[in-house]
Amino acid sequence: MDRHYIDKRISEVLEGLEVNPPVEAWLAVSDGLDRRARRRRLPLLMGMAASVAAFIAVALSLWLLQPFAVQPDWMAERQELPQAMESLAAEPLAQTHHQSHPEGRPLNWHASQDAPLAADYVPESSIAPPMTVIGGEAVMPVSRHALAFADDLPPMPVAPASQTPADGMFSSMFASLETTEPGGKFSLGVHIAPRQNQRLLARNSDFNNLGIPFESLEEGLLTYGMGMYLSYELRPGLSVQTGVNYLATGQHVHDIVAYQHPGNLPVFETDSRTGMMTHPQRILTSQGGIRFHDPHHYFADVQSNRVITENQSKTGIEVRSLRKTHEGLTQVFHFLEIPLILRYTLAEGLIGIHLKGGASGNFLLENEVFAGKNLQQPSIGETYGIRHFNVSAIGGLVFDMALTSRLKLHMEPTVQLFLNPIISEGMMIGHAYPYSYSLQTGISYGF
Amino acid sequence: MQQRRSDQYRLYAMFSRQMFGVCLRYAASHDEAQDMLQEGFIKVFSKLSSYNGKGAFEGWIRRIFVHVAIEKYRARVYHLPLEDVVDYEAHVHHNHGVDTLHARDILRFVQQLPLQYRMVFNLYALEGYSHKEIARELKISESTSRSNLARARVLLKDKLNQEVKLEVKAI
Repeated sequence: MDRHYIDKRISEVLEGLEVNPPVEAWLAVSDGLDRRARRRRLPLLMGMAASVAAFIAVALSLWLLQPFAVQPDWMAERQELPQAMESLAAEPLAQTHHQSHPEGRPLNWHASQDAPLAADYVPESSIAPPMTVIGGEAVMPVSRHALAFADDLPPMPVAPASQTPADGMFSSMFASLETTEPGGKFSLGVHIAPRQNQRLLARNSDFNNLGIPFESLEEGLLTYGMGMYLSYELRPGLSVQTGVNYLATGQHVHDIVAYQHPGNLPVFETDSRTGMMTHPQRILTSQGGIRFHDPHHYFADVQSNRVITENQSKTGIEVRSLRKTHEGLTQVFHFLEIPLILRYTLAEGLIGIHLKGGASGNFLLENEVFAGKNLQQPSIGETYGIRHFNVSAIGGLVFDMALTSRLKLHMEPTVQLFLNPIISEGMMIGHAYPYSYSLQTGISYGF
Repeated sequence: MQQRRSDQYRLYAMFSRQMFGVCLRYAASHDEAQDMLQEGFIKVFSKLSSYNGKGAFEGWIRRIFVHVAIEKYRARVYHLPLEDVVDYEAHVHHNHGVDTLHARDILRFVQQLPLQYRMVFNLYALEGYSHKEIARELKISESTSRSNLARARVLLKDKLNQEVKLEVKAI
């Protein structure tokens, strides 16, 4: 069948039509490719969020399902109190109140003027649950404050001596790790943590930023850390831990614009013999000076005066042909950390609460600089003058929950402050002390 | 990765002019064509490993762009009233006004066609799809495809005639 004359004529004109797309079109394609790459790496952050959500969900579920707390190891040891202490705890106390149950059954309440009695000196037989049974009635040590409500209390139920629901729930899951022996003084743990990094500036910069303080030119950075640790219980409620962690700190640097050739051709020349290039630009930040090893970028500052351009060794490319590709830079410092931390128990129960504090040595592994905020691109430079060894202080809380007698889930809101400026003295622009907030989530195994 | 991006740019530079021409035919505006171009090349780069070397590479790329146009059509399709096939051919008279017009003007006429007419006309007249294939891709009936094509031709003929008359008057 012959083609319709309109089809034929129009296709003849439009078939081989070639139109130059705008220059921005390639940048849009390039950005789109970067976004796709970023999306593929999202699972890391999603995994971290999922682990936090899982911890909360498991903790909440067990809290709702379990009427009695899992007996922690350190409380079990307290059952081995000296005989004198035990007899003291077992004896009728200075003030003993005999009250009648509303149904006529006698209920024997022991009370002391020393309120914390119940938690500290409970005899073995009354720890889980914290009471004894005499003649079918519950007898439990109780504080004076509790007496005000005694009339409303029903007889205490007697807990079965079998496993707790939490043990039952997880015993099959972790059967291969379980033994009949409870966890010992050592525990081994792993954790992962999102970190929000900031820095303190102890002294204003001497460098001339045209009067603009670094605070308004820089911004904190979200990174992550992970590691493993070994913990040893020094005495009940007090343990010491060490290990090895990987962590990243850094910051976003604003007020810098990066330009590239639309075809990503190099802006600066590379030595044909060595294959090396010396990028003629430096950028000063509160956390050191940045130098570049990628010849494809040209930088300019907007309001401040931080881009230092030395002798030009540009290729034949006209600056006018360059296109703005990124706003700002991101400095990232990777550290290997060896911490030494003391952990003190504040409260035990289904969820234990502990206080932690200590110090760590941080060894610089690598430092990178990225164009814009996308850390998935290749690094284009580095920060020079960064100390290779730093000392930091660590503090925070530890929330843990026993899954079995050996396994525990942990969630640890942690603050870390570098005790020395991250930049070497000779390179000092400002006294920047990095600090971070993080939420370590992990699991530990006692043995 | 920088090297890889440079290679991608070379491929882009090689085909972007032709593919932008294709996008302009399917789009109603320059901006829409630019969106198609971006989406098309991202697909090309992400599916590059699936090109098996059979057939012309340019044809493979072009098919991807046509599919991007079809996907965009599906995403924003609006329902035109379904009509039976009308013999618009009876109203069509041969006119060689096309010869005297620039590609830019013809492209503008195609872009001004209603979305569904434009899709059907492009797929039938320029890509060589059959009505059966168009019906499957655009999720319309074959008779609707025929009707849309006929209407598109009538609209294009009218515009071409108007343009030629204007040019004759100007002379």
